[in-house]
Parts: sequence; structure tokens; C-alpha cells
Amino acid sequence: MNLLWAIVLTPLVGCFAAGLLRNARAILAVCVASSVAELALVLAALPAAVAGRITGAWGQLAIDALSAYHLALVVAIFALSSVYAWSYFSAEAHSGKFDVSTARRFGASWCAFLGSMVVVLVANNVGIMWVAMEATTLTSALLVCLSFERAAIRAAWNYLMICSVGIALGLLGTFLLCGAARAVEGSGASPLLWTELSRVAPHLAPRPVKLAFVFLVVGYGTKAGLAPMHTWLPDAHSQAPTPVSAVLSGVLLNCALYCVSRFLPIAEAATGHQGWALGLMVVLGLASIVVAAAFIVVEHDVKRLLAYHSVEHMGIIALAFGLGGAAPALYHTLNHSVCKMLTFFCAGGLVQRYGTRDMRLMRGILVAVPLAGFGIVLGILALIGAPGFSIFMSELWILKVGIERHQYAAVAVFVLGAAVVFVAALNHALDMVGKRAAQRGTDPAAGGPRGDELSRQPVDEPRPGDPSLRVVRWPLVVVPLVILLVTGVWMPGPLADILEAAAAVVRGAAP
Amino acid sequence: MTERADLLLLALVAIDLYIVGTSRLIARIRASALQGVVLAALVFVLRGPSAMQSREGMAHLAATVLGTLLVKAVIIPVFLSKALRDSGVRREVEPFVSLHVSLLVAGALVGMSFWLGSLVPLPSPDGSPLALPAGLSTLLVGLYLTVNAKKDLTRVIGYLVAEHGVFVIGQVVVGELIVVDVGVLLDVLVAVMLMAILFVRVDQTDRPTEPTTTDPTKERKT
Repeated sequence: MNLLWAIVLTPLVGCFAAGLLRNARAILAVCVASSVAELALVLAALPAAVAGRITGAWGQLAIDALSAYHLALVVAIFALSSVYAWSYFSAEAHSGKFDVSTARRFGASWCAFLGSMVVVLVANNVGIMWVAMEATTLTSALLVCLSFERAAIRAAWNYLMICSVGIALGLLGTFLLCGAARAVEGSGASPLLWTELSRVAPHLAPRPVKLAFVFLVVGYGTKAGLAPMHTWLPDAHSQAPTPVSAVLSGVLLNCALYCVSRFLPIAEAATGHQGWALGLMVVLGLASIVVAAAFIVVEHDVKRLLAYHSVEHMGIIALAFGLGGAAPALYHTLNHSVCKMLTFFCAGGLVQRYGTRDMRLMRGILVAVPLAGFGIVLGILALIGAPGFSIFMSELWILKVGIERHQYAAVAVFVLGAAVVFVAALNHALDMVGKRAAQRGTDPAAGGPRGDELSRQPVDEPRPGDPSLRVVRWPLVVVPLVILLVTGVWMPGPLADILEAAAAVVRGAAP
Repeated sequence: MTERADLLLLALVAIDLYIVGTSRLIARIRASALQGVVLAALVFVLRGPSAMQSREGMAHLAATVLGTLLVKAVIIPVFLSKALRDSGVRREVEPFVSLHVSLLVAGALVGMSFWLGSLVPLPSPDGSPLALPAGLSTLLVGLYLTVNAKKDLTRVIGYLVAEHGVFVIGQVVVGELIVVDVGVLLDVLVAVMLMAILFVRVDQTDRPTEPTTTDPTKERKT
């Protein structure tokens, strides 16, 4: 299928083009163009993929409903983030931080990052899926240390080290699973193919599969930021340039959980549908929620706060998978990605305006930066599950599934964690809204920032910026907000259909 | 065939223990290069007989063996040695746990892997029963090295050793699609290079008094 090849190769073309150009603006335009083109291709492939499977490249690549759903989400978020990156770095270019060589590194890594995530999602061969997943680590590590500042290099180093070691365990799990599949009589084709694996899944020996699944969950779970393997995440998310944070948090984590959800039905089928693999997901999900809730209470860095929210929401999604609610898990994935993109966009605006990431130095944000201010307050409200937004609906749905399955303990921990996050994050948001900017001099004795932190916080005036940027920024805030509000009250029919089709794949019920 | 494969697997585990026991970073890098040679030989011994039968199989085998040699025994060690020279780190390893205790730990890890390996018999037609224990040992020793290191370069070596362990299991169990073999090799190569580059950068930014000189030889004298 030629469409499949086009989807895989478009980002690669963008990568080379960005690496060859010598003009920062042109490079940013290439990033936007290639991701928008990718979006068009994916949308063209979407109906056929949901209706049935598209395969290509001798069976090594395939798009089914599950991958199509994630693919559409990844590429849509990436396209919007590319537009945001264009606006963000144009502002940076005024201050000379974004020169041509930085732009080329950014453009090439950005497109390569998109390409590697797309390959993760369209690979039918789990070996290729692993290779692409490791490639996402490499390309995004380059994006994290774009500025070459000390903290950024440190964060990139930790990210690279922890995720590479983690994902090596995922490779071991992949190999063990394939070894188990090879032992099954009549496994003719390559045991690395996912379709083949799921075909022979009921006949696999349970013990090797259990060992393999533990390695797979730890490996890909590291990349997904599930606690206790999440330690790289807050550093990488906060040190990366904001457009990069948005895609790291909005889509990269989804891709890692997507890999886990691919192996979930296989492990369940091999262990006789006794809920062994699901139980593992519940434990990791709850651990992530609890750990994230504890850190959200004490966090003052706005981007780290959002990063811990990612840990929490990845935990919620893993929990939902574990409770057996694949459809609400996938719905929550969509809501979280859209919301995280919105909040990072606004956080970027705040950081550029105030010149700091410390929320204690941001006061009166609704007056000082109206667009980003309103955006982040509404975004945080959505993120913590305030009624009216779609995240509230998906969390409610997950609760309902949990109660139906009589998993009361898990539901109780989930509700408790979500309540702590609700109060803590709301507190942070209200603090930023209240108190006019005049009170910015915080008292160190009262737990405020230290003197040396304050001394390098010269708040530069809002950049003049060209009016074209403002034209771009309004839709970037308004569009995600509208999506969150609309899907909070009404789910469109096509979305419900694709959710159902994708959930069937995770449940192992797809043909 | 399995006797030769067994010997190679035992050599792999022996090198693991040597890496844990030696106190010099350069010796660790060279030992990991030697492991690369052992791995390439292992691929040849394990897959040679079946691969020789078809032209396609030969090409695949040659690509994997040569690629493994080139990446694991030449490029990565050379790159790491250069990173070691460029950075100002001391040549001795600086572990949290002393080398003697580490050797005991490594011995225990090897023992545990053999026990685990017997617990989960990996069905593989042409593989040796030692493959899973040896691979797991190497993986665990590598993980131990990454954890038990104050200096970052030792962590990179640990990652490399851990990946060797996974590689062994992969070669015995699967190893049939060239895209996957080459892809994994390339990923590891780029990962190690990036780690080494970032390591040198971190090391340079850690010394704020240094003027921004690009000449590494000047820094080495300090």
C-alpha cells in the first residue's frame, strides 16, 4: 500500500530538508509543512484502517484501528505543536537564542522524532517497533538539550541513560515473547510479527510469557513515565524547549503506552484471561497516581508541575487498561494529550513573559498575559478533572468501569490521588491568578525563592513580536479548549466508533 | 556446534566478571570491545550452518557479523576511549561499592541468572541451553555497573554490557530479519555516541573556571 510508505517517508524528507536549509524561518516552515502533510496522509488512511487492516512492506507494516487512532492523535498534536514551535522560536530568534545551527538541529531532530513515532505506530513487526521506540529516545534527547545549557544537558543525559537501559529490557521482553511463540507448533511466519503473535497467543506457554511481559512493561513503562521508573520525566520535560515539552508529554508517552497495550491482549490470552497482566497494569497505574500526587503538592516549577501531571495521567490510563476499560483508557489518552498540549503552550507563553518557570514569581497572570493566563488556568482546571471538561468525563467512565468490575480498592486509591491533585493544582493555579505583579518580591523566609534565584530573574518586557504571531497564538489556545469543552458534553459518532474499534484490539477481540 | 557456542557464552560471562573486577576505565572499554568480538563469533557459530544454505542467508549473516564487529568491537570502543581522553575524569573507576564486594555481587547475579534460566526453559531449536543464563548474567551485570558508578562513563559501559546480554538472547531466540538486527545495532551505536558526547559536554560544563578552550589536551594536564 503506497499510502503506508508515504506516511513513513514524509517525515524523513522533512528531516533532510531541514538539515540542508540555511534559514531559520525556512526550517521552521519545513517542520510545519511536513507535519501538516503527514496529518493529511494519516487522515486519508484513517477510514480504511478503522474498517479493516492496511498492511504493506511484506507484512512488516500495518495500520489497524488501534494504531490509526494513535496515529491520528500523534500527528494532529504534532502539527499544532509545529505551528506553536514556529511562533515560539520566532520570538526566541529576536533575542538571538535561536540561530541557524540551532534551527537546523531542531528541524532535523523534530522531523526525525515525528518519523520515529510514526514508525512505532505503523510497525507490525515488534522488533521494528522497538527499534523505532529507541529512535524516539535518541531524537528527542537531542531536542531536550537543544540549548546546550548545563541543566538541559544533564536532563538529556539522564533521559537518554534511563530510557535506553529501560527500553533494552523491553527488547529482552520482545525476544522472550518471540522465543515462546517459536515453540508453538505451526508458527510458520516470523514470530516477530504482531499479527502472528496474537494468532498463536492462546497456545503460548504461560511462564515465559509472564517473564516477557514483566520485562516489556518495565521497559516500555519507563518510556511512558510510569512510577517508579518516571524519574527522568520531570527533568526532561522541564528543561526541553516548550514545543518539545508539549510533544514529549502529549504524544511520546502515548506511544510507549501504546506498545504496552499491544502486548496486553497477548499476555492475557497466554495466561488464560485470569487478569494477571491486567493486575500488573493496575499496580503500576496506582503507583504512578500516588507518586505524582505527592510531588504535585510541593512542586513550584510550572513545567515540572505539568510533567508530574503527565505521570499522574499515564497512571490513570494504565489503571484504566488494567481495570479492563480499554475504551475509556483510549478516550482519556486523547483528552490528556489535547489538554497537555494546551497547558504547555500557555506555560511557554508565561515563561517567555516572566523569564522564569517558578510559579511563585508569576502573579496576576490573567492581567499580565491574558491569553496564556486564561489558557493555563482553564487547562489546569481541565487537567485536574473539573466537571464540564472531557477529562472529567473519561475519569468518570474509568470509575464506572472500576466499580462494575468490583475493584473497589483500586478505585478508592484513584479517587484519593485525584482529590489530592485537584486541591494542590487548584491552589497553584489560584496563586498565579491572585496577587498583583507588584508583590513579586517574595520573602525567602516564607519559603520563597532564594536570593540567587531571584537575582537572575530580570523580567523583560513583553516582546514586541510581530502581529502574525498573535494571529497564530489565539487558535492554538482556543482550538484545544473548544475540543476539551465540546467532547466534555458530547461525543461525536465517528469518535465513538473508532474508540470502540481500537478498544476491541486491546481486548483481543478484533478479528 | 553447541560446544563451540557454549565456550563462547562462558567466555562472555568471564569477561563480565573481569569488567566488574578491573579498576581501570580503559580496561573496561577494551573488555567490552572483546565482548563484541565474542558476540560476532557467536552469531557466526549459531547461525552459520543454516545461513550458508541460501544466498540471502549468507548476505544476512555477513551483514550481522561484520556489523557487530564494526559497531561493538571498533567504533564504540574507539569513541569511548576518545571521550575518556577528552574528558578530565580520572582513569580509575569510582564505584559506590568496592570492587571486591562488587565481584561477589556479580557472582551472585550470575548464579541467579543460571537459576532463572533453568526455571524458564527457552525453546530454541539451534540454541544452547546456556544462552539464556549467559545472556541474563550479562544483562544483570551491566545493570549493576550502571547503578554502581559515580562517574558517568562507567554507566555507558554498563549500558553497553547490558545490551550485549539482550543481544545474545536475541540472536539465539530470533535473529531472522535483517532490518531488526541492523536497526538494533544502529540504535545502540547512536545511543552510545550521544551518551559519550553529552558526557564530555557535562564534564566540561562542570568545570566553570576553565576558559572555553576547544583544545582537550590542555585540559588533560589538570
